[in-house]
Amino acid sequence: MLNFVGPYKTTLNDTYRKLSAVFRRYPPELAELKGGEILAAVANEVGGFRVTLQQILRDATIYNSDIEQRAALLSSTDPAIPFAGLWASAVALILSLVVQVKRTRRVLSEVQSLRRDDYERQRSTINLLDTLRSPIIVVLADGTVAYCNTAAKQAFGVSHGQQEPFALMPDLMTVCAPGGSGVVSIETLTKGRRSFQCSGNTFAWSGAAATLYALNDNSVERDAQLAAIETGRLVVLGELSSSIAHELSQPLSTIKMASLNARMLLAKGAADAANQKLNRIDDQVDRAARIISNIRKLAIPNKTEGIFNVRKSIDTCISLVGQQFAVANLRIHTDFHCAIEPLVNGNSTLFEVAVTNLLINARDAFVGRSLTGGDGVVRISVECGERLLIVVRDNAGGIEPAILPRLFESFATTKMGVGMGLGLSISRRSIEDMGGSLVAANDSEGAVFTIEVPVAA
Amino acid sequence: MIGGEHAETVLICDDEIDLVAELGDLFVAFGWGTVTSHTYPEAIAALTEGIPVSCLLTDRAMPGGSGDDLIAFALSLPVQQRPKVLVLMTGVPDLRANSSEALADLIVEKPFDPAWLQEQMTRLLHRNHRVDE
Repeated sequence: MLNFVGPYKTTLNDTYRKLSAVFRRYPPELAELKGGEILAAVANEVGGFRVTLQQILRDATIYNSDIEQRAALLSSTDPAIPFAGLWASAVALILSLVVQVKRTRRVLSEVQSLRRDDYERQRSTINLLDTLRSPIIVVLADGTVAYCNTAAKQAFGVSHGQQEPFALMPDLMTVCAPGGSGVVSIETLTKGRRSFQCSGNTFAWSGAAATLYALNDNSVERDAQLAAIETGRLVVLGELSSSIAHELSQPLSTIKMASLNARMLLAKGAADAANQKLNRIDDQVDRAARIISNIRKLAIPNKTEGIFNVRKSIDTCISLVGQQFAVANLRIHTDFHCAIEPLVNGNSTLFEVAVTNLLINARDAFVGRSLTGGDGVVRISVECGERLLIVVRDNAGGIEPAILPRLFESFATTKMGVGMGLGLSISRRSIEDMGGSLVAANDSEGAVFTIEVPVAA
Repeated sequence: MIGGEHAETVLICDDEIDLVAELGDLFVAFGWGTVTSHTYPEAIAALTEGIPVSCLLTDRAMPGGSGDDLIAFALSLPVQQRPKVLVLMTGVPDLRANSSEALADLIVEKPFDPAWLQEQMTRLLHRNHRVDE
């Protein structure tokens, strides 16, 4: 079987197939057909093929003529011209390379210059940091000390290249993790245990990720703050003294009555009834012990910091002011929106002083405005998230707008003739000491105090 | 709770349930009749229900209404319904305890000796009876 190739292969193959079909179909009939009919049938089939062959012939003629023209043109051209073109191309390429090299050298020079500037700047920064009295430590991501200034070397004994420099000051890593700030107590080589305000910031040190820890010895200021907080604690304790006396007098009174009753019952020989009285005495002693335990927490300052449960602390605060609220015909509602126990890091006593202060303040607002008809309520809501939100809200009408901006200043008071105006100032300081914040605002019903503190890691 | 037939009856009002129970038992042991209540409204109801109460012994600080309010209410009752002796108990040391603001015949600070209190109440009853006569 024939198989055509080339530009007309489709047409030629198709025509060949058709002709083959004619001849395969016609042989039986050819005998019966006259010669002219046969020729007509063949001519009909071949007609299309002829047209195609003519087209092929025309195209081939044009193609050949084109080739001849090109050959003639090439034979008449000077042979030097292609070489010249080639040479010109090479020269252009070389020039382009030269320009590129020059440009690269200039960029390289600029980069080197920038690096020199950067190095100079870093040297200047280091010189500057070395003159600071505040300890500065730069730690790479792998825990190696990339830099520490003279103050840090002298205070903590850290040195360049040291691994794990925080073995002796783990609190620094916790409190002042990158992006954080707070107060840490660190044992120094020269001055014993000191209080430092610290902050941690992430940045690039010679191109590597690092954290810069900046510390400021604030022991003197801190001592003054602690003294103020201590004063505040005593102020709160004073405010609570009548409540405490009342709270304790209740179980003591019952014990007194029950013991007399028990004695009389025993004298009558009613041992079972007397035993019931003794059980009641036992319960009341436990109650008194709980009250004393709560008071002791406030009365004896807890100077240690650690993780504590906010829910339990709030319960303690409520128990401390419960009687004052009952007397003033006020209610306290608590609402915890926490899937887990709300744990925070700090000094639980200071936190309880702060919250108790807010509750006493709310009570005073109701009493000061004679709002003791039974509708007064203080709502404490706790929401757990990345930070713990504690909102203390009352419906006592709110804080005077004129006082609101300076509410947390020492000696600012809304209660003329009552208190020293230290409570809220100390409350805010106590909360800030935990790395948190305390803000005040008014809503349509009354004052809203919002405490925000970091959740314990 | 009402005691049996007694010469004198005391209405005790305090939100401390155990304390009321013990005080009630003591006064019964002393031979008094007792009526007990734990809130201001309960005490008001007892005073207005016609139960003969010769002494009112009430706590000062109670939720829902203070002992001072209760004594003021008792004093507003008709003479035949009014307790003869009004005693205020308080757990809070209060300067007003000895002031003329208090309408009570006696103010006692908790914890107190119940036998002493009973003696004082008896003395005051006799005094007030004499005044009435």
